[in-house]
Amino acid sequence: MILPLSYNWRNLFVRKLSTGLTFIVVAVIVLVLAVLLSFAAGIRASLVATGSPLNLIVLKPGATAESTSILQPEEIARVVQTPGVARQADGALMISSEVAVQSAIPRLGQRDRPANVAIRGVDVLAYAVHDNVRLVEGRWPDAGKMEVAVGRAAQKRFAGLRLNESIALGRLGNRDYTVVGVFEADGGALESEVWGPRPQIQDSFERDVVSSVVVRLGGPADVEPAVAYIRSAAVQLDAKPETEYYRELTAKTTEIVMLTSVLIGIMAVGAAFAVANTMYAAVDGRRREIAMLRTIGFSRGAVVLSFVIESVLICTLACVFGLTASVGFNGMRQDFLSDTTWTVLAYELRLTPGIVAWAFALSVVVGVAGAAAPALRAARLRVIDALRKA
Amino acid sequence: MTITYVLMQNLRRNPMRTLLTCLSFALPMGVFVAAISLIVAMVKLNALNAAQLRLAVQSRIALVNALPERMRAEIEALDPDKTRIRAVCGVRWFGGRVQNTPSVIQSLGADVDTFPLVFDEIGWTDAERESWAKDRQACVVGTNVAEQYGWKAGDRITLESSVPPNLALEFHVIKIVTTEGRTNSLYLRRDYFEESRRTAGFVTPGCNLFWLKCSDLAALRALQAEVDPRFANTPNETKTMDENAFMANFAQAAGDLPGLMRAIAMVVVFIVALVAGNTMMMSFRERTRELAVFKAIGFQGGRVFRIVLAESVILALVGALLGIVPTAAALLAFPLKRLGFLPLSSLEVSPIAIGVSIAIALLVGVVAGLLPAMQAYRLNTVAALRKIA
Repeated sequence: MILPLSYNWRNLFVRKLSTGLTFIVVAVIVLVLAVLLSFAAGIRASLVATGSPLNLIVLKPGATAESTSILQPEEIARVVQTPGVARQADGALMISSEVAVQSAIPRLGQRDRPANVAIRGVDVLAYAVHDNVRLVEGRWPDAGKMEVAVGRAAQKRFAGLRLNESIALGRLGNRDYTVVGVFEADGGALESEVWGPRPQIQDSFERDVVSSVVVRLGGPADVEPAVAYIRSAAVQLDAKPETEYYRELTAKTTEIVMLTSVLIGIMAVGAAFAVANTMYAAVDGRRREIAMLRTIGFSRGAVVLSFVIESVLICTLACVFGLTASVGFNGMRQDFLSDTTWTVLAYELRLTPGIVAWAFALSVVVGVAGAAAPALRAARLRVIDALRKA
Repeated sequence: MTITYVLMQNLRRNPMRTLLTCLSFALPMGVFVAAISLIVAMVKLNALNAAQLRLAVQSRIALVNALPERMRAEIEALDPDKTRIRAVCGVRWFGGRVQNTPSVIQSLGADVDTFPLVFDEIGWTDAERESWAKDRQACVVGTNVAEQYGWKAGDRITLESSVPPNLALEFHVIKIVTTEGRTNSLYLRRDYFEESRRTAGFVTPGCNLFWLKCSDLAALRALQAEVDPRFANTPNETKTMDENAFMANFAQAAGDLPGLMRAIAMVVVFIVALVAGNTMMMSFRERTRELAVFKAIGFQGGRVFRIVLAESVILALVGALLGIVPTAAALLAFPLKRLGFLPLSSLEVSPIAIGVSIAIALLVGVVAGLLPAMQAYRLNTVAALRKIA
């Protein structure tokens, strides 16, 4: 026979202060956990969602990112021969030459804190090659005009990027471009960028060579031979799938996330001890009550279970509270500077179902771990002694 | 019966609770001391940098935009009688890495003549200054970098640049830098770098950054206000910052770890305070009768007050020490060098951080014990004795 849940529920309110303090401890830890993981999830989503596994980024060997790579026209000519390149309906090879530059643009509401934003010069072909990039407002820039399209994330984080606004770009920051379109890229890194026609961007930034070439392949089977070909003596360039390229950019972030997870883990263990302490007090204060329960026929197991349930109840309620508070941070706009490209990535904090699951798992574990020892002590109680003691 | 004796008895009466309280204190305090150490290290590094009186001049548009070499002379001309500027050193990003390794070393080419003047805090001997001036392939390596790759003074190393034209150049390590805040970078001679670039067809020399060493703080403030207007409306508009403002741009690359640490430290203090308060109240409630007996046999209210308060403080202190010692040991045994940026990479638990942590623990102990101690002080002896616990 199991003790009714209402027994546990009412017990929570007997030691209001003690229960309340434990509740706050768990809630705060859950809140911190959820916010930190939302940061991590936001950053990761912005990088992992970027790119298609069928797109290869071709860079100069030795370059760590597009921003530090330059390709000469003759090198690009060699890439054209790559086997398995997809074609457009009109037969054009889907190979997009792109120039990656950067410019200081102020953050929204923080005029004095400019961020280093990535600017990409592309040909019309790029809109087809980057198949996860979709125009959501306005139109793409006309070839040959001083116009740009901006990523959704960039528009929400940086100043002066609304439709029809004008922005000064270029090596000298003195060429005015008009924002004519807004694009999305499944929340990926490209959404933090500003795209313009390649000849204009190259001219404004005084670049006569391109940074990278993106090659779209026909199917997954083409990836390996294509990479091998580009790395071979015939081309002598470096190629990797877009997805992998962006994953490497997150390496540092993963380290930070690991570090914070360790810190949270340590604090969670501390919280488990705090919960254990409260439950001990609960057991000690209720010796006679427990003895009574045993006398009227509840088994040891039922008593243990009852205490564990009570503790888990506190912890999960606290978890709900902590998570509710963390919803306030959800969707907050942030950016971070990649230490590889030295351009910023705008992202939003994301409270994912995974994080919610983690938070609940943590609080249940803390609840069970905290209650186990006190509950066992309650079960071992000698009924006669406990009843006799006044 | 001394107060110490009573205290020890009290702590021993419920060893499980004492242990749990200490542990629930120790773990967050362990995190706390690390967080505080990092903040202290940041403040120290900032103070060190500020004391060097350096200004950074970069392109207004982007750091990658190289500024022409002649701008050094133009900056120097702002101070014709050489009273405010000690020296100007142009640096260019090399971004070298050891072949077939992914991580890029913070490596920069610096002007041969002024580098030892602008970065004089790294402790040059005459011999080192001479080999820097004479050996075109000389390089000065921070100790964290040197340790990571097993280099020592006198070694010949080859680094491959990660920026065009991706030169692979050979260098001679002439000096290992152990000066705090300078341990993570490598400096080479820009003339050697530029010449190699020219050979590869990159004919325009330039600098990503000019470092100005100023003679005093007033000169620094004045120059900071003068440099940018000097280059306004030229093809090379500039942005001038002091060293800390310049470095702050990069701290952000680490996902704003210092900010995160501050937040974590505050949360920890909050949690620990709650835990301690909780425990103290529990043990007081349990002991109401006992304290009443104390009072009945003649203990003054003040003394009972001290007994309760002291217990709370001792628990907090022991808990804090249990957290601080292992953290300090862990950071000594496994330094975070791999994370590659200062001050995290050379983080160790500093005496100041230990002091702050203990002070916080004391404070938390006092605050947590205050309410129960007050209750003990005001305890109505007769009522408490009458009650059957």
